[in-house]
Amino acid sequence: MLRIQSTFTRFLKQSVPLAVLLSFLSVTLLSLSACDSEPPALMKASKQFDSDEIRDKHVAHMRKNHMDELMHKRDETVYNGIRTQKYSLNACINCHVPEQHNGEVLRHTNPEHFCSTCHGYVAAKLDCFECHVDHPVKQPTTSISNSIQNYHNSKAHTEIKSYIQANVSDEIATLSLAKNVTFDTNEVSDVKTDQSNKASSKKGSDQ
Amino acid sequence: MSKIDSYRRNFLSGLAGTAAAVTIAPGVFLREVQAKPADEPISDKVRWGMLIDINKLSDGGDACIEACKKEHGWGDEKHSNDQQDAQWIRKVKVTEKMTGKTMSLPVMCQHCETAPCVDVCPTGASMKRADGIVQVNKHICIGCRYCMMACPYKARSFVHETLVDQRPGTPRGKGTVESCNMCVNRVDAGKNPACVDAAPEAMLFGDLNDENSQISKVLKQYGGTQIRADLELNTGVRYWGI
Ligand code: SF4
Repeated sequence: MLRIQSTFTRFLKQSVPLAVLLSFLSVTLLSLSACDSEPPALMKASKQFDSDEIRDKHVAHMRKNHMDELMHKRDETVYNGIRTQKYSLNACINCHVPEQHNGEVLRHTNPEHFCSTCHGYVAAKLDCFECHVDHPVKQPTTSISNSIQNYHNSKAHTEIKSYIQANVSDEIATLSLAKNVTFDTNEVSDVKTDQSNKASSKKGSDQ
Repeated sequence: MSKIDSYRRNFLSGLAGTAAAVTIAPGVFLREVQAKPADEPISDKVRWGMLIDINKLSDGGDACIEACKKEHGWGDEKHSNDQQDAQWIRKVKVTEKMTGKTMSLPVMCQHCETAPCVDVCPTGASMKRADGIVQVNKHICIGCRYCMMACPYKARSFVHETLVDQRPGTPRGKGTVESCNMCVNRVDAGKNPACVDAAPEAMLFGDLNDENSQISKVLKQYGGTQIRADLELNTGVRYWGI
């Protein structure tokens, strides 16, 4: 009798936590299936892929892996100076965030901002924009290129040119005055946000 | 080294600088930076360096400073006081005690080969790239400011306030330290640093490891002064005329 009782209590002792666990799981699963797991609607990117297939791949990959890709790319850039468009934060921003939204700059503090919509939804803190700019900015053409241009037109430069041709070895003269002298007339980044650039982004998967 | 020795050396190097400035035609070397393919990592075969002829800087470097501000977006801190303001490059006025001669030179990060800021950084954020450019990896900077203490050139600044609208090529943010990064974003794209393009008659940028580069050629011929050469940091930025 004693023995039976002890087996029974042991069974009870074991099964109670099991039952608790089971009921907890079922409640969680039920509630999960009940909640709306659709991610919030995101702002449309300014550039579109050529085919839905490429786009769907991009979306699926980035939804899951964007943080890892960005983390990897940031180290490649800071340590190795690799500044390709692929997985560059600036490239993401240039395509996913409009220059203006309702006549204003769209900042990450606005829940409509592409990144903030989801990050707000899942309550994950967004650190990138403590340092990085959160909307597309065209690097302004500074007076730098003008200053070179002015310099080239200046009397001083003509004098130097003749000085070099007279005094310095041909090698240096050609090096410095011909092939390496270029002007930065186009300082603006090559990422265009309008549809006209679509043709050039045909490869698609690079964005 | 005794005071007299160092004075003598400075005096001599000053002389050499002046002679060089008179002899060599200024600003003949505009663009010698070749773009590396964008997907290729930088290599330690290159060491970027800069030469500044202060006698050719008629404005003492104001144009360079303006160009730097524009390129990197510093100098517009709204809530910082004078001591807190960012200074990637500053005009330093020096007077020679003996003669009273005054000079004004632009001083930025000197991109030392053996950089004290890299030595002291507890997180590895203060770093030297393979090509000799010293910069802060702000992703892992904790803002302790040891590097600011260690830098003999006062080249580093700490960002004291929340910033918005940074330049896309130059992320900067509150709580991290920053300094001249020799315009890495431009150099990686095969351009000159902004300051060099702003004062092409007085500044020269190029590869110190390549003996055929223009900067190496003129340095070999005329030498170039390091500020605080006594520290033996082998700086990447050299001067003429001091
Ligand atoms: S402030 Fe940042 S870069 Fe400077 S030593 Fe501290 S962690 Fe390193």
